[in-house]
Amino acid sequence: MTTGADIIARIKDENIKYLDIRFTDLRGKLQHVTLDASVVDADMFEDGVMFDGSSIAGWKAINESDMVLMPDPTSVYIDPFFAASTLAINCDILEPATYQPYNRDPRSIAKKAEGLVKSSGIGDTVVFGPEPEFFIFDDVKYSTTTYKVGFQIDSSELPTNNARLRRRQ
Amino acid sequence: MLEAMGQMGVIIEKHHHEVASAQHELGMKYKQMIASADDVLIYKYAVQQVANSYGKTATFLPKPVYGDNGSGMHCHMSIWKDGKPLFAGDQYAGLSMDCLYYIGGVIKHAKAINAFTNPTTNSYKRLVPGFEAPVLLAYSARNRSASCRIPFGQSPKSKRVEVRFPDPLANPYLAYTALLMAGLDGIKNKIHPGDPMDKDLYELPKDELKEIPTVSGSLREALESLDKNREFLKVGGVMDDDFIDAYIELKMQEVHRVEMTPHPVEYEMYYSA
Repeated sequence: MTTGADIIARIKDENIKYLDIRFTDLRGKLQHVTLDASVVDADMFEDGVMFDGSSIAGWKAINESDMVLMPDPTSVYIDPFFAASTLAINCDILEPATYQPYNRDPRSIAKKAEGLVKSSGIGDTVVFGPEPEFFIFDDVKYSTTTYKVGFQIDSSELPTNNARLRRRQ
Repeated sequence: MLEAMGQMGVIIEKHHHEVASAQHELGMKYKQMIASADDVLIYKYAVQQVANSYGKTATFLPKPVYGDNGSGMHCHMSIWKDGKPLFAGDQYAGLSMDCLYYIGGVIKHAKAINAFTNPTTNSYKRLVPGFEAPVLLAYSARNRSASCRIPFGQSPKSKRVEVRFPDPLANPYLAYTALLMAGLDGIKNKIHPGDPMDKDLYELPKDELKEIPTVSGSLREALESLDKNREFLKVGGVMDDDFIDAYIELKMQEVHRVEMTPHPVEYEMYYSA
């Protein structure tokens, strides 16, 4: 099992510049906070990172907006898309007063569900295999202003572009 | 894309072009629940980043193009105990009774599950009859038109359920949780899913078709179903009313915005009426 100490060692050994802490909002959108490697220490894996939750849709009100991002050292990966060497780490959201899982944190909710399988005695391992599909477009434009609503998409693969492709060949 | 995901710890298997123009799917290996949901986030991030690096964009919108196939996120799932597959047995297609009950739970709660597995107004433009969309709540070992499919596999270890209605705009943590909680409710309360549906569901006569329950027809229906049917999600304190109410409120704002915006097609149909 990877621990916080392993991560700190890895940052040193591989000369990692940034630790990018990641979580999702209710909609599933990836949110992140990028930390300079110099602030990553053992305490961070005990105390977590304080965070203003009021900026996330569907989370806390501004008057009680503090929450704790607790990095999960078992869930790290190098992000090849950052120019500087960056280690990404998934985290759970905790309540600052109790350090219990925040009841609106999707990842904590899933952990509770997985835990229920064990505590109910039904099983000890839950396995998922997802198959997400997607489209790739060369060009996308959309407008949602009051007086202009619509979208326009283009891809060299669209049937309407067959003639253009043939010309190119 | 496969290379980037591999570097980021996703166990990658394949890429294939999908049915629609410009549509794709990359195959990644199954994992334990949390790790698999983590992988979905990496998958989407890598796809979008790599597309951008080629001057293109990727979208996980379930139905970006009218009249063509939409994008789903079929979810295969299984439960194991002491290294043994809980879903293998001597029932239909080599499944266990617990697996059938799991399917029964998913079918029973599907309309509420949709609020998490199909969480956008656009999701329901994919979930329409035709275009291979898994609208009908039935199960089958052969039939891809059923929303719960049992993929072919000889080995007991390969026994799993594939639920076909989820789409890639789902928050994977919440979608997995909703599916699992419905399945667990099925196992606990022995909810039998009825007989399998091995006919081609798209070719069924209308009166038989009417007998088969369907997924929610809109995000509004899914959220209203969740509002009324939430107890199965609250078992063991997994979700609570505060969370479910906040989720419904957030998503209902999206419903209202789309419902209140005049649509270009309305101009075509009614402008000069």
